[in-house]
Parts: sequence; structure tokens; C-alpha cells
Amino acid sequence: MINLVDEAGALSTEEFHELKNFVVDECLCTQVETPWLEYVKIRADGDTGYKGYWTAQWDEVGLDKRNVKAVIILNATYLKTLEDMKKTLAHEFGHHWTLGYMIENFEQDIWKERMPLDYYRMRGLDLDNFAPDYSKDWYHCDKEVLAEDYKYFYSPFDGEHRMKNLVGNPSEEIKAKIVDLGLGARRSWEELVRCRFSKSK
Amino acid sequence: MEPITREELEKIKKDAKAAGKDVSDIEKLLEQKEMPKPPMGEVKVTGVTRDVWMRMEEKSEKTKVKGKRVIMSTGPAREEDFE
Repeated sequence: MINLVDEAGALSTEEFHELKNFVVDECLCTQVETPWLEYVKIRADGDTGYKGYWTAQWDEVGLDKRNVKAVIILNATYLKTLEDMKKTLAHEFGHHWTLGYMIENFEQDIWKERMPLDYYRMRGLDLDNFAPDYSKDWYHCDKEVLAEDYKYFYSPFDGEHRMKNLVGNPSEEIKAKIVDLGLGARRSWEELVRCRFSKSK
Repeated sequence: MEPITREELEKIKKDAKAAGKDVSDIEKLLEQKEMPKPPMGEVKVTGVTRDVWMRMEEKSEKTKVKGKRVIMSTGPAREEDFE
């Protein structure tokens, strides 16, 4: 269950509980990355141009990274119904699924590093037109394509993809790749640590 | 981050109206010529000091070390989101 804060007072009690359980009941999540999400906050941010966003914070001292926490904001200025909030939350949790593991395990600078090249190949993204950041616009950011892929396969909004006209819908191959990029990345990291530990013995 | 488009806002207005919600604020937003451009991929880095235990020759001592606090966002990078 996620920690939900309705600062805008946008939901009824029944709707609040439905949205609070939405990720656990209807999306792909595990007990590993879900606790990294400090909370989901519904807030009237005004006419900002965004429906919601995912953000993360951590402290770094040398190579040590601590206190990693993530937050999802849903903008109640635009999101008026429970259905719209679920749709945006599914997209933002798609970011949490992959970027959370990337930050926690590999300490990557997510806006400088592309998603893996085999994801680019499977998804038909070309390196000239897609970027690891927003330099080529929102529709051409690899993390945004991936968040939409997550929503497409692992939420009730299957079949809905905002880049459909640009890159088509994701193939079944991508469905497994999404698991690999999230929890799979964690397993690979744990295996790497185990391997290093056993070698040093 | 998910940007809003005019077409989506029109659909939101229609759905919200059908659900009996007040849509006067959305109607005002739709009067604008252009939708605002959202902040995307902001990063904010600030300095922090942390107490760490350092092992000296004979004993361990608590020492202050300088580090950084990083906020990385798909939208705006705001400290108040974590308060």
C-alpha cells in the first residue's frame, strides 16, 4: 500500500482508498521498490503544464549514497477524476519502477545515461532521435517512452500509449524487458555483490 | 512527468462535468492561446554536512564531512516535496 496525501481535498473517502490501493492491486510493484516511494501527493499546483511528476532525493558523501526517497506529485488543477489520477499515477509509477532501481543500485546519472541499448533495439528507438533527457522534447526522452510502456503492460490502461503514433505500441518482448529493467536490475546487482564477496573470501 | 495537451484538457473537462465536478477553472485554462510548457528533468544540488564515525589510531571519532544533497526530477526539482 502506498502513502497517499490528498492535500487538494480532491477525492471522496471511497476514492481515496481506491487510489491508495491502486498500485498494489492493479500495477506491477514489489516490496522492494514500493517502500522507496515516500508518498504520492495530490496537490493543486496550478496551470504548470504537467499532470504529475516523479522526483527523487538523496545525500551523497563521496561514493556513499544515503536516504534515497522518491515522491510522486499529482496535479489536481488538471486531474479532476479518479480515473485521470490513476492514469497519471500508472505512468509516474512506471518511472519509479525503473529509475528507482537505477538510482538505488547503480548510482547512475539518469539524465546522462541512456536506457540500455537492447531496449532501444527492441523498441525501435534510434539513437539520433531519442535522448536520455528532454533535449529532444518529452516524446523523444527514452525514460518517458519506457514509463508509457510500463503503463501499457502493467496497469489497467493497457493499449494506451502516448507515443503510439511516433514509435508504435510496445511488443511482448518489451513486457519482459520492463521486469528486467526494474527488479531484474536489482537481482543482477545482488548477484554481482555476491560474486565479488565470494571472490574476496 | 506527464505534460497536459489541449485535447486532454478538453476531455478532462467533459469527463469531470459528467461526474458532476466544478469545471469553471478548466474552462478558464482553455481560454488560453497556448498551454504552458512544463519544467522537465530539473536537477538541484545543494551542500550538506553529515556526521560520520572516523576510525582514528586508537579510537573512533565523530567527524563532520561535507557532501551534497541531490534532487532529480522528471518535472520540477523542489525541496519542499521532501519536507
